Amino acid sequence: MVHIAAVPRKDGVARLPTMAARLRTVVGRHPEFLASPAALVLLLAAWEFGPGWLGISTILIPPPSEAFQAAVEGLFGGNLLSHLAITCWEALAGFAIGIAAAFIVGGITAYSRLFERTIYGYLLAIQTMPKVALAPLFIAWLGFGLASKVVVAALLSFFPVLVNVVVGLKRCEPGKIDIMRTLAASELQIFRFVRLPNALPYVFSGLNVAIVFALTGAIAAEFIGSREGLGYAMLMANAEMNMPRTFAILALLGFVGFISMRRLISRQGGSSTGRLWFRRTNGDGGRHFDELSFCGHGSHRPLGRACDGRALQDQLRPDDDRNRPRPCRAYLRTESELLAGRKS
Amino acid sequence: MPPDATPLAEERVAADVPAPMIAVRGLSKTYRSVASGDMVALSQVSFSIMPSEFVSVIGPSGCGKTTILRILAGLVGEYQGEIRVRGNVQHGPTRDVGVAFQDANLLPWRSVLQNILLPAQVLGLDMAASTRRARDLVALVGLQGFEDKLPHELSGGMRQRVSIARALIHDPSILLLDEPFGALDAMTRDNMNLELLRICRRTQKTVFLITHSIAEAVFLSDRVLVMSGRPGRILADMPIELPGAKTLEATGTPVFSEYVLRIRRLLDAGQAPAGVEG
Repeated sequence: MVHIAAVPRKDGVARLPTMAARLRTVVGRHPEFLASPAALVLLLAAWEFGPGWLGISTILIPPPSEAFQAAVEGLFGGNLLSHLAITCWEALAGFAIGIAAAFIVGGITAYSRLFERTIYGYLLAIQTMPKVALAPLFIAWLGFGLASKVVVAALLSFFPVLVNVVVGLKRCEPGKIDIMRTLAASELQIFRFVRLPNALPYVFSGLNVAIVFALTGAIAAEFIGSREGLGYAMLMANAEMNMPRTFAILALLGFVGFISMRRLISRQGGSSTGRLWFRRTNGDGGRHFDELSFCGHGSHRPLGRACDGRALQDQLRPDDDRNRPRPCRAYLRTESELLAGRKS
Repeated sequence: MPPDATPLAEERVAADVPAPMIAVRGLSKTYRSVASGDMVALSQVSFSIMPSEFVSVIGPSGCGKTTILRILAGLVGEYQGEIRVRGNVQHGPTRDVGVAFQDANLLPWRSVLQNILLPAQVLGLDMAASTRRARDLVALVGLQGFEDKLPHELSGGMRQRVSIARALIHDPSILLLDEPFGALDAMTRDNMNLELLRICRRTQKTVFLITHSIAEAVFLSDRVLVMSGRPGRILADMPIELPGAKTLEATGTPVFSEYVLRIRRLLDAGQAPAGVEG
């Protein structure tokens, strides 16, 4: 909230600032409150009138007003709402199955070295494959119904969660676990008090990616073979050259993706959208982001510069070496050390 | 030095002094590694610490100081020799020990108070009583008003204060400190040392402190163990008796400088290739 001080009048009696003064103060401190909607309006205006001026057919690029009209008609008069419900159901069911599997497999991987060394490598190899390419196969196996879409959505949302669960559970500062061990804590206690909370920021960043992937998977599978769902509706609209409807469905999909990510996954309030993009590289509760470490596509290894030697290098180190503590800051050389150095 | 004392005198002392809190006898540790061969970290280390005694260990880097502490904390196993705590042979971690490392190792998602309460939760202590105790400890380490802050909102020195409070929450009789102020700047470090001394006097803990600073060891300790380079052996077991009150001004006295000089000579001798016995 913006705090606005009462303005003292000449006669010494404070009066409340007028509405206009309030607005000026708010906009002065947060220009984006005005600039952001203005940019949107400008963009929509350009889209509405631009093609006409430039002589581009409005059949190919329908103005937003027509798309909006098509959306309203489709949602309230037509069948878009039922298509939307179908697609959401597929995506959510796939998402739920995908993350459940990812939690189980990720937990096993983090706790069983044998499993990690034998199976997990293959899983990572599969991960590099464009999994949407498997959709035709599942359609052939499971038919045109919901099941094939759910499976593709599950497959797509499985991997980003898996790698993040594994990394989150494993990349835990050894010192924190040492503290637990000095208290004779059980593995279960270490999991509950240290490993699980430590993994949460990773897990949530995986979930953020996964929910979008689930929607992508459902739509892609619908494209390939279905009789209902937004993907099907869109193919139909496209075939009829009903561009306003296509755009309306696109906007609807964007809206659903946005809502699902913000409402379903967001946690701790505030601006958690950062979790979609930035991977935490240091064990500090998600406050320390490495701006070059994009984790879209569930990439296992953060790209680019590593922070405190913890991100990239540690994953490239041999397994048994990976958890060895390493000094994370240049430590001050003391008298005796300097002395020792001089002697040797 | 104690080894020079006559056997008769030593026996008499042993008769009326209470049993040591920690007794380490013939402790050796070899790290086995296929890749780089075996590495002898400790060789035949023996010492004992009396209840409420403050003992520091000083020695060159890599001399096995930290290994001793990690063995005492139950973090390292497979050693030769014997460790007795209150006369009982110790295997693995015990709840009667509080540990603080160079890194505060606070859990970043927990507030100061919750971090201090972690051992109480792990050990299943009564939470209401522990919370009261935690608030007392917050006051003891001088962090009133910061109870609900998260670690990233604290300075390095404050985080170490939290880590020491956490080591004290379950009221252990032994405090193991591995260079807890090693990463702090000199001024903060002096202050923290004074605080540590005050806390240990107040709580009557038996303290085993690892340090790199000779001055710190002399200032804080009742006894200083001087160790040789690898493989770590104990060169000297030196009681420190500083006259007068322990204030930072005491570090300027000739007695203090004399101790520092003696330890430095021992460390220098221990570094010599011939390995002169100290």
